[in-house]
Amino acid sequence: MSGNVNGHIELSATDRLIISRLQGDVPIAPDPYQLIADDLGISLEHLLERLAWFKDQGILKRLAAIPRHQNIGFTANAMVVWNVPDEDAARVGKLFAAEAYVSHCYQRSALPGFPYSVYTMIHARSEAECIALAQGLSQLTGVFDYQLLFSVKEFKKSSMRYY
Amino acid sequence: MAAGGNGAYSDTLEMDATDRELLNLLQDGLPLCERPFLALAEQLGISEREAVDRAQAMRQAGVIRRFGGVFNSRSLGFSTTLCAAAVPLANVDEAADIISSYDCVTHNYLRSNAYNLWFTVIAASAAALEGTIREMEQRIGVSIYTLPSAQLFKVDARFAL
Repeated sequence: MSGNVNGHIELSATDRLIISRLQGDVPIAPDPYQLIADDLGISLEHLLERLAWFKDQGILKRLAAIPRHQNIGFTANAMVVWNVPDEDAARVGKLFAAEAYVSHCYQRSALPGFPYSVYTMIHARSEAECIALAQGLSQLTGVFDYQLLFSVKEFKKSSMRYY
Repeated sequence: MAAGGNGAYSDTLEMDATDRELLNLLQDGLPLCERPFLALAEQLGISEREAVDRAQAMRQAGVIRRFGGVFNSRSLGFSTTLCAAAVPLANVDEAADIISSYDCVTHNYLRSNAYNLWFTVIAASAAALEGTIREMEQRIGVSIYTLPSAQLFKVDARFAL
């Protein structure tokens, strides 16, 4: 049985198998779902029905290509952190979120000696472009206390395996 | 066309306009139907075979890092947080290796700040998350600050090409 019980989504053993399979690589082939269904020993119809349900429930955002952004020209990325009063966070966050080059935007708690509470990830073709984009965001929102934290080294970037 | 590169940085694939349009569609998601590449190919005015071949070439060249399911960890009941630590530079590689060795760490970066090590942790429950982070803290010998999201404004790591 699967269903939504008390706000908690209940997954069947088959659901978990499907999720586990989709965390790995999906075949790039004319009939990828048939290949996965065969792998799992279920019918194509059943697989497509479960995937549609996962999407409905918000469990599965999409089955998609994740580009390595450095390989498609986005070689610079910066985490830009903004000092925003709590009561202004929603306005600022929405303005940031509307920009295509902002991939992530969150409000978080501040750290000792680090008063920044709105976090954005921005992606560009150079560090200079990141700096210019951040200046634009600053002017757009009127938030002038901010810092760019460039990624100096990527130690790990992977996708979570839930099951 | 697509020579080389097992996910390593690759400049051997010359992407043309059709590749870029296909990658835009593939970032939005594969349709849920029996012949999903046929559906995409029709939008681009190419054959199903060509769409499959181009997608395979982009994966081969490392332009596509992964082709698979993108899940919402929160909907699956998992807890997740960003973490930050100020690690003395002399120890940062060693600390980073310890952090990266955890399967529940998906992103781990050295960044240009006194708080220099930034990573994300996902766990099956809030208690498991906290336990894992305190264990990491002991192992690297530096305080780890957790920065769970208080409010989510956007997550959309798709790139328009």
